[in-house]
Amino acid sequence: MSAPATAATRTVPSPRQYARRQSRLRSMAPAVFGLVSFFGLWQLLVMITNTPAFIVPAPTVVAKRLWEELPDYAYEFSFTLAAAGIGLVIGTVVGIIGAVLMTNWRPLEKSLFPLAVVLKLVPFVAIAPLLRIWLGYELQPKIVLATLITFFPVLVNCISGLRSTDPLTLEFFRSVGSSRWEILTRLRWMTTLPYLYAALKVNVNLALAGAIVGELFSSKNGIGMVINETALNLDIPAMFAAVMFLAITGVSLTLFMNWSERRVLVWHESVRTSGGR
Amino acid sequence: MVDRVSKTFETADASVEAIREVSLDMREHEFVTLIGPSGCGKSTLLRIIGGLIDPTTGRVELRGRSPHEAQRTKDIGFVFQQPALLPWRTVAGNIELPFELNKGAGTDRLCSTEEILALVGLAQFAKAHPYQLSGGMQQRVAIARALIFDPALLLMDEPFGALDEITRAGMRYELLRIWGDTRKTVLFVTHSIPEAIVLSDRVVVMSPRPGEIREIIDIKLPRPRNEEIESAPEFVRIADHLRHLLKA
Repeated sequence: MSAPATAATRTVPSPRQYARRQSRLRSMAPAVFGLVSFFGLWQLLVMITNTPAFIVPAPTVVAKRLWEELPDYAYEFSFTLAAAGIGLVIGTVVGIIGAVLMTNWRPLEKSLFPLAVVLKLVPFVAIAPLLRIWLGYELQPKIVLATLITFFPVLVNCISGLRSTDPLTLEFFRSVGSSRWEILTRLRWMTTLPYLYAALKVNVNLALAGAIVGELFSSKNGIGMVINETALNLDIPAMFAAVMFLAITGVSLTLFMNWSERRVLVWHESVRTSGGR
Repeated sequence: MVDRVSKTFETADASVEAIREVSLDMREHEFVTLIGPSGCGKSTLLRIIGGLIDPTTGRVELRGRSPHEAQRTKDIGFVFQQPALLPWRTVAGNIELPFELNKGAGTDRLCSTEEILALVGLAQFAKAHPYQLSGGMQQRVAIARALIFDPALLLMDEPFGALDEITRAGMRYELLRIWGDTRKTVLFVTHSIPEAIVLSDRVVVMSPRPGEIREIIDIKLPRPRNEEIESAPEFVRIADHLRHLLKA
């Protein structure tokens, strides 16, 4: 049973917390081993075959280049992150509102859901050039792309979530004369949260992908623009460095989402049964 | 008061008559049990009385008002077979829930949350979450949640049906004790004969589908009752009679 840690237990880990930390470290060992061997093998192969850096740079070369370019990449990435973030927020809000409306009004679901599916099935990469023509080279086309990609998972998951309310709990709400609004905000919304989180975890990386695709096609700024430019100059180590930068930010964002999910959904089975991982 | 209530469920290719012409009068502060074979419509009848479903014919009145009006004035306390608690709220938060819903209905309150927690024997669990409690404890939270807003009628639908036999046997005396303190009017659905006799002032025996009232039995065993009652000759006699009725 994991009672919330008090200030005292946080500064001095209890034996049990210590043991848990130990076991967590131990469970991470295989993953660390896998990563280290991957980069080690890469380094080794590049050295043995004497591959020039303009074809495949060694990890050490990439890391060094990334270190040099870090301030520049971080600056450019802020544009990517802004576009992805705004797109994600819009996509999420539209998805939630759509799900609430559709679950409350059947005709709306029947007429709009197929449209949403069609929208979902259009490969978003295909509309990027069009968005450039319409919206230019600033943030807007990237925001639109990120929105279009993220809204569907939210819509689908929230519809499932809103429908997954426990029937007996719903009967209790009705038996004390709750309004539809009270049932929505105090019951359905809360049962939807785990579903919404599942969609958000996928969407964080989808939104980034959308923004980057937008930047590859048209942008004055952003990490996608960096990749495009380094490709034009055949600066392969810089390309690898940019990709590695994206890998690191992707992992960080995913870890952040998992952490915040554990915070928000302490009560939910998916969090409780995963043993704090 | 239940007056000639019938309910037929219509499905795509069949209609099922769940209950037929059931009439029942309840007195204030009375504990009445509905007993019958599974599928006899006892839960359906309880849901009709609680206003969760509407009868096909017939009429239900609670202190002269329809079940829907009684819902609006928060005069119905429901306890289901499952606790149906909100897992994201603490025990105290779950018990306070009725006060956050349908606020227009006024703020009748039986007692403080601390007092009701003490009454159901969970005084030290106010800040626990439902998943940290056993099934029996969760069901006691559900009972507290149904009592806290002081409803005119407490409807209990096999509240101990999902519990193991040992917990279940203890819970009926626990409920008797709580009822002794609050004296709510209770309508209790069960298919356990000892449970029905131990708890009730009257036992309503229903027939298999379509559910009709077969017999209403007054239980005159003295109160307060405890475990010893289950070996009293009068208890054994009623139990035999009930078993006979339910078999036929």
